[in-house]
Amino acid sequence: MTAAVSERSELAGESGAGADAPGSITRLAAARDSAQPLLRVKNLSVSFTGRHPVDAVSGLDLSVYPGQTVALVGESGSGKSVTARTIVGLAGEHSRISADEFQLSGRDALAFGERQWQAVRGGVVGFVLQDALTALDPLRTVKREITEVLRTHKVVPRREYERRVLELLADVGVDDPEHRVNQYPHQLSGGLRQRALIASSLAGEPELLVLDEPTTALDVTIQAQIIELLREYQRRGTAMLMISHDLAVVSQLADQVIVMHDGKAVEEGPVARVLSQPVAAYTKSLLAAVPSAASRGQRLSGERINVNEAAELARPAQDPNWVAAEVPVLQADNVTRYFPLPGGRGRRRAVADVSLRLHRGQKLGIVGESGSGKSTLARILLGLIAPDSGEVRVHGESWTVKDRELWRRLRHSVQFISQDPIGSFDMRYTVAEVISEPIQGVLSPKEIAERTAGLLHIVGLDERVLKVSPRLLSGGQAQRVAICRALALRPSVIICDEPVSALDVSIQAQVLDLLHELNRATGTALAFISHDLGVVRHLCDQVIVMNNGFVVERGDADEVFDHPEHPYTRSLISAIPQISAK
Amino acid sequence: MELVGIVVDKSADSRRRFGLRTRMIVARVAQAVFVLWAAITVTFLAIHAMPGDVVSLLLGENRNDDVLRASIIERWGLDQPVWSQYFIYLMRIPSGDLGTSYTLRKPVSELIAEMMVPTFQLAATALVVAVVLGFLIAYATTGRIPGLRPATNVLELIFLSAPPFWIGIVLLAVFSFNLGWFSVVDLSSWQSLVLPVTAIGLPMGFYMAQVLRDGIDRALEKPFSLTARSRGLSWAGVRRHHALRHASLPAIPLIGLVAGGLLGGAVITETVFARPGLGQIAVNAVLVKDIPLILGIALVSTFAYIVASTTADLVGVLTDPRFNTEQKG
Repeated sequence: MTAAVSERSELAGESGAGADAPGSITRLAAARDSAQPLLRVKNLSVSFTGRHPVDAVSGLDLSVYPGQTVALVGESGSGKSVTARTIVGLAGEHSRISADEFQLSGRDALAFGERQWQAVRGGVVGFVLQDALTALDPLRTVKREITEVLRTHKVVPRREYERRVLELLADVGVDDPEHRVNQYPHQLSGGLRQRALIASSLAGEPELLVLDEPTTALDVTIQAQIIELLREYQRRGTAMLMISHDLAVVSQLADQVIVMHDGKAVEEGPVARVLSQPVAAYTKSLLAAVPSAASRGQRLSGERINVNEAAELARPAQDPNWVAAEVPVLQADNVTRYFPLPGGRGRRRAVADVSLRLHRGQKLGIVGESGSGKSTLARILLGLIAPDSGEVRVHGESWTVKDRELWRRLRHSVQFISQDPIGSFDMRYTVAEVISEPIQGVLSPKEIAERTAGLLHIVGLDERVLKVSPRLLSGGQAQRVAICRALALRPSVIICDEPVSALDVSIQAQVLDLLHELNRATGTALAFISHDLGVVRHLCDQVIVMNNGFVVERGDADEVFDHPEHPYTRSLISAIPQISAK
Repeated sequence: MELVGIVVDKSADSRRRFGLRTRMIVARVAQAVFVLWAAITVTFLAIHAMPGDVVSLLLGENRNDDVLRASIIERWGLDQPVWSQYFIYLMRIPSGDLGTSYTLRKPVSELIAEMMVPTFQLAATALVVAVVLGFLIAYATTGRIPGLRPATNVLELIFLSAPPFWIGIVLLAVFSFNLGWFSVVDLSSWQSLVLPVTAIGLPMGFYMAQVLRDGIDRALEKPFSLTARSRGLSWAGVRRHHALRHASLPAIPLIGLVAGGLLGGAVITETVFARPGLGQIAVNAVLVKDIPLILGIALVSTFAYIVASTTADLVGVLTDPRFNTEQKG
């Protein structure tokens, strides 16, 4: 173990050189040859007792050999996170675990008591949770967080804590560790936070690293950096078990992959084989559901709508003043908006000189990383906040129009779908009330009931959900209800802010298909905001790329993605992980 | 600067040296000063809004003493216009001159200062007991001892719903009259403090425990607690090193409010145990309509309350690193 430590610290200075270091290659080769797995689980079942008994995992076999990376892939509820937690003995209070075999580092984990588990956690198995902002204690400095591991496992004597923490931080590629070490998580950028979290999980010199969605909360360029960092540790021989819903990220990192569905492994094998020649129907549907350049214009799922019915019920309201086809339904001219910086340190330009035109039936993608100003732009386009300069026009009329009646009609013709539909519903309403809220008082009760039921039918929901509370809806159902509500007023344009980001890939596929078909059937324009370039490429005809509030590139979606001109767009596109064996 | 979309406002340069934390502290202190001023003004308005003439009101039962009457008019400037009276009043209060109680023939500030001592003893001790008890109960009941939490819930319900005077009377009857363990007669001994402190500290401790336990439970559900456990910390370790600190944040302003209330005099408890203190002289002052004393106590309790709650808020701001935006990078 000590040999490994010193080797790591030597490597710290020259990141990327790990693969060439003779020591690590021999060690890796030696590790692969030995037949003893770090983790071997046979026929693992985890169930939860209590008020809502659930079989979370059933009959899972899993082995991780030294130097190997195994990925558990699946959608929410597939049991992948429960499996990860079970491996460190943290499945939860009401869990019942059974297995024919459960070996960790050559010892029988089924016989572990709490003390032994505590020695294993952090010492034998390092654990990295999804979002470092919440996975690190917000009230403690990076130093205290990492020191906690050193102290718990008595890795080094007390007087060496400081030195070791700095070493670990430098090792995970944190620049200026002497300064960062005394900072709190909220003072670090997303990438640095994730590195600090990884450093803390490595502090106990574990043999196996369990990573639960290690890059999911990160922007695509930061994600690429973290993937590179993890690959560096793979080269040095660190074994990993990673949990992910993202097939592309998995293909970049894993050797073996296990596809999980409803608590069972439906397919497993080398990552290249599983992703290129899937055997199980579920794996095939999962791969087919991933939006990309290739899937453009094709359905990602079995989703289909009744085109005539949709056109009938949701075609944009025909206002005689708005018929001129050359007038964009939504238009922004040199829109700029500032926000004050915390601590009175001047102000930040959130949206800078943005112009755009959206014509009837068009689908415009607005892409950018967090902080690029895309959500602020959405609120300006919706007329919810006023720009400091510039103007937004709907059907050629400005949001600043004085005529209240005209303003109301503008309001009706621009609707909104958010990332978190459930949060946008009043929990005391029924689904029927949520959908019909915008048309209350506009139509008669009978018409409202008919229209609500009709809209629900278009988006493929059963009428039975009308009477239930929105809190009982699944993520996909909730987004369908949000689409219904947006369509209720026959809008000319719907602004969608990350509408599929919180959804599983198969549900995301259905919602994307639904939006695409509705757009075709009704001619409702879409302004589609997303950080996910694959989704935008799949769905949109036009695209604008935002960075620090500015539009850095715009144009036809194929053109921008195939021949990006701005360096930022290029870095963004090259950072997208592709599904290909590593 | 242009490229990153950040425009530094030149006029903000002077403010740049101060972070969010500094500005919050300044704002909180300014707020406290404003409330103090408002309290002084309200008492002034109260005197003038009461029926009858101000001089007779202040004199109480001595209203026929002409010499006193003349000196009051002189002191309060009652022969001058109202705004000038207000100004005299406003200047006098911060200097510590709260007027004279004509019933007890003593300066109000002196009377209050005497009574502050036993009140402060009681309040401080009760507060320490409550905080310690709160932390102990919260810590113990978030552990994994089966049956402890439901048992504590019953005790909590009893102590939080029973009126304080009833708790006081029961304690007095059992421990003082029947068992004779703690005398409440000899006020100079520490023993006289035990029962009143228990009567106040116990319910407050259970109250604190509820707030703290809620905070601990919430912190334990957060991802950072899972991270801490995945590092090999025990359940107790996670509570000690992580959850308690998170739970303390909402508890600190609560301690301030409770302390402020107690410093104004625990009227009922002082009466039950026949203890001297602000609460007791307040009751007496009201009974004999000693207006200068009532006003003085009202002001002092308000001051105590404001000082305690402001201090607690400031401590809260200083303990939470998330208020510190000064070295973002």
